[in-house]
Amino acid sequence: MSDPRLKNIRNFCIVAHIDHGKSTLADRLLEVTHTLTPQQMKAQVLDDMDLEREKGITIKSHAIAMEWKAKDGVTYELNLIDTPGHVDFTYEVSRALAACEGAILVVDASQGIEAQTLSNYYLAADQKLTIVGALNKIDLPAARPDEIALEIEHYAHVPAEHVARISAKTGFGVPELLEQVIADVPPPSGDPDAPFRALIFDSKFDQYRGVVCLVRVVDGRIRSGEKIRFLSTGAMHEVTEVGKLRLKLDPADELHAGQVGYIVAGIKTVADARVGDTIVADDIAGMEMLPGFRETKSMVFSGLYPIDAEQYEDLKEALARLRLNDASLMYEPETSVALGFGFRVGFLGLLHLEIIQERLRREFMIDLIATTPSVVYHVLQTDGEFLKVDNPCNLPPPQNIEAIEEPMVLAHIVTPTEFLGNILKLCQERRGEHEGMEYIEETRVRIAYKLPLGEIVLDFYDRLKSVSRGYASLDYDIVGYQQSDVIKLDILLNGEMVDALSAIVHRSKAYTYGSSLCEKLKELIPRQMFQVAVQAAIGGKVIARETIGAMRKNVIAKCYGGDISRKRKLLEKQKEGKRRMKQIGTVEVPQEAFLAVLKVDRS
Amino acid sequence: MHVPFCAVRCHYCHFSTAAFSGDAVERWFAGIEREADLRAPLADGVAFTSLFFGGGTPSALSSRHFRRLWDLLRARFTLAPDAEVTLEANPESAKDALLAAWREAGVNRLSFGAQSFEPSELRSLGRIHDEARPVEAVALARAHGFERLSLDLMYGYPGHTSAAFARTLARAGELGLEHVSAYCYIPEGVTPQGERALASGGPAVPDEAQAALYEQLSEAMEGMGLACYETSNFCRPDAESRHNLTYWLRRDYLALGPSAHACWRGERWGNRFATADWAAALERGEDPASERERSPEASTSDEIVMLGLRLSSGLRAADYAPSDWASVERRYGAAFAAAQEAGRLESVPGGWRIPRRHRFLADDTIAWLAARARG
Ligand SMILES: Nc1nc2c(ncn2[C@@H]2O[C@H](COP(=O)(O)OP(=O)(O)OP(=O)(O)O)[C@@H](O)[C@H]2O)c(=O)[nH]1
Ligand code: SF4
Ligand SMILES: [Mg+2]
Repeated sequence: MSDPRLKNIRNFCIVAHIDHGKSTLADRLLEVTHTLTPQQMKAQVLDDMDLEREKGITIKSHAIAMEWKAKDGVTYELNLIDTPGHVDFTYEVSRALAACEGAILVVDASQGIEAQTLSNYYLAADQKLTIVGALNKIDLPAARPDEIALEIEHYAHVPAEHVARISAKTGFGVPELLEQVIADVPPPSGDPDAPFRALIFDSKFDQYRGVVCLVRVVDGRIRSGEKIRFLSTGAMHEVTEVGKLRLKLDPADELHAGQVGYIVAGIKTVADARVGDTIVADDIAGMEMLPGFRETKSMVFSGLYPIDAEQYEDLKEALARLRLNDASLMYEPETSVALGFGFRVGFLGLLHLEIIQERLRREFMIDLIATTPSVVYHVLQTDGEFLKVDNPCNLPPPQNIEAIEEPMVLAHIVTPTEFLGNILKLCQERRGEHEGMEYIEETRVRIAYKLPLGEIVLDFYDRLKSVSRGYASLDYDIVGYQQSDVIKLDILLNGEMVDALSAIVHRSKAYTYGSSLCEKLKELIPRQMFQVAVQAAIGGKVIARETIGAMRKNVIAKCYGGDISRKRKLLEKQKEGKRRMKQIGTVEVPQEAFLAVLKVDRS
Repeated sequence: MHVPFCAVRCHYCHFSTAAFSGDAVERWFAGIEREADLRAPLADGVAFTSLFFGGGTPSALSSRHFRRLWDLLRARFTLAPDAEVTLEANPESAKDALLAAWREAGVNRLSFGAQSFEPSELRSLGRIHDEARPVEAVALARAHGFERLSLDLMYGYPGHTSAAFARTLARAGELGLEHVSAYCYIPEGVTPQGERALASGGPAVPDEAQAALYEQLSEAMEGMGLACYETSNFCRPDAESRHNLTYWLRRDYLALGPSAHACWRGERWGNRFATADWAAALERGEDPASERERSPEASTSDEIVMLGLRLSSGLRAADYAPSDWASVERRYGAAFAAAQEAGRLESVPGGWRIPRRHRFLADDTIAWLAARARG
């Protein structure tokens, strides 16, 4: 039973498949509650990162507090969290859920249930959140609200007549949806008079405040000046500020049980403010850890190296900073023969990798080379020792390997039936095992496939989108390891092995993979002053080769009457090009070439 | 000294040129006079060792006009006694009266724009002269006592073949010239020919073909006793164009006329491109320069490297002011050593040069060095 003092609080998040309109709905909610002034308002206002705005997708969850005077005359405190929809960022969703009692499950009324609709629904249901169903985009001519409402009833167990019908674009149905949230989502439980306990569900770095912990207070109250302890590390800090999450941080006198807000406590190191940790009042002993959330599992690992070796320390600092805003980012130092000092970084998927690389470039001005991404293989050596290998270079020589296991996923793909053939073919090519299929409606199916993670983590999503004209959606979960005949494939440039380009591939695909990688590298590596041989090899035996012819011309003929501006411009451009190349032995290799593996056609 | 007039506009040309009319010439003269007045104080006490009349077509000026121009310049600037005075001449316009006027004034070097000796190529380049004309022009110039003669050639344009180039080179070889400039064709978007080349997409002429033509050129020049002293310039021993070297060695130069560029005592400027704009600025009593910048130390050394490495003799300490060379060393010392290691540079007494086999790839090494320059 909820404490009467908490009965006017509702904590809820918005979850959905990518692009179904979560952030747009959040805009309307902020509008109808007058949380933002018209001047502050813009489309998907919570997507405040440059990259989010450019890509038009949400990358980070965003929490914001609102007030709403409901029909019953009571003013409610509403804490809303908008979440990302892309499969790489499921971890963001699960953390947001931990701070809430309810979730609005948004479904695009023209698209219907998609892979992430289901996976996010399951996450919310697992955490026993109240689900409020909302059919969005009913303004679209292609909307089929009655049919899709039935899908929601069937899959998310919300009675069809109880599913809200809204247009996040026009605002239609949004006030009614809020009323429904207040009616259906229970107020938080928790005791404001009990000893203080809070869950850190996110953290960020603020230029002036340092580390800011975003918390859901479970019990008790907290004010500035009080002392808190982080349970997992035992670190103690004095609170310097607490407050509510508005568009900006909004200081308040106190936070109490049931509320969502932030705490600043002079925390210097990231390690002290681990997302998922529990904060308690320092003077109370024997407090129990709150159930956090699953540790994130990095799906794919890649080495990140600064092109300019002198930026290693900057990179280290930048990764620590990013880790503050992105608890899923894992990294440790490593070295490469070709690239020098860098970090092995774990990512949730390829989009995650791309975004981190882009943020490092833009926010920290560090140009990077990312090595061929790899999943984690389990290796049993002949001497009985067991190894986890996330870097192809660390794979022991074949004669020392007893067996290798690769990670497997259970993938769910939702697609219109017309693309079924293409998709089955794609899964088959990726060594998939068909596990089942069900019809969501007459023209749409949900297929289950067991697939090696290594086959899907790189380009599968793009391929899936391209063979289904963008209509198919994907979700996957790791389901364990399976023995596999994989081998290490090396790339040699003019006879010199480039460790950063090595990859672990299935034996049956080594040849095609090796030759298309050589072809791709030939395209991506510009001509040098001499001919360059690009070779793919397995255990020293060359299986494919391409030759990059020598550069023949690179000179501007003339200096027109002492006007050198043109030469200088050209030089400036060429110099920038050179700066983005890494000298590997005698060969200059551009940044893009290191991700050639992503562009290789594997079919 | 930029003379912006041409009888007809060539198809590949993007230079600043103007229609030839009595009024246009008068307006240009007035502009030159104003600009010379404006610049002369900068060169107080300086004796110029080189003067270059370029264009456009300086030879389009009548002998009367040329004398007037000459007097105008001499009244404001001083020439060193052994100064090199070059005039760019269209073979078509090399007539007795003009040659005599040039000679009498003190022009001692002529540069003929021949481009090619192939009739069909001349037509497609839009040149008005026929292939026999440069030969006659050279003979006539010699008869008037001009010993220092240079020829401009072009190669690597769309449709250019090695056989055609061989014929042109052979004809040029018969002329006993002391200097040849041969430029690889660059498609310019603003020219009819460039537009055609660019519209067809991709490089009109493959690098391989242009590189092969350059090889052919280098060999032919050697056969004529002309050594390459800069990427596109060949000459007999000690017959380098002093004017050219001024640019490549980043020495000071002043500029007069539309689109002309100067580099003077740590500052670079470029005049307005169109003759009318340039003249109008001067008429308003304004400086005709449209771009102007001071060269900070770093960009001075970048320029020294960028320009100097094109010379076959290399980039040598002896050619520069000690303070300039010191900053080149500071910024590029490590990069030079690394480049030598990588086979991109070879050392020469007191400096560095790009190996002969990489001459047509010079910009790659220059960019490679710039990317590694310090601070
Ligand atoms: N016609 C129509 N378009 C909508 C509606 N709601 C959202 N959209 C559009 O759908 C697209 C995606 O909207 P977002 O709000 O960014 O979707 P999202 O679910 O937040 O996407 P992610 O955060 O990337 O998962 C945008 O172009 C919106 O303008 C609606 O009710 N009607
Ligand atoms: S003569 Fe020279 S300046 Fe005049 S149009 Fe021809 S190329 Fe251009
Ligand atoms: Mg969004």
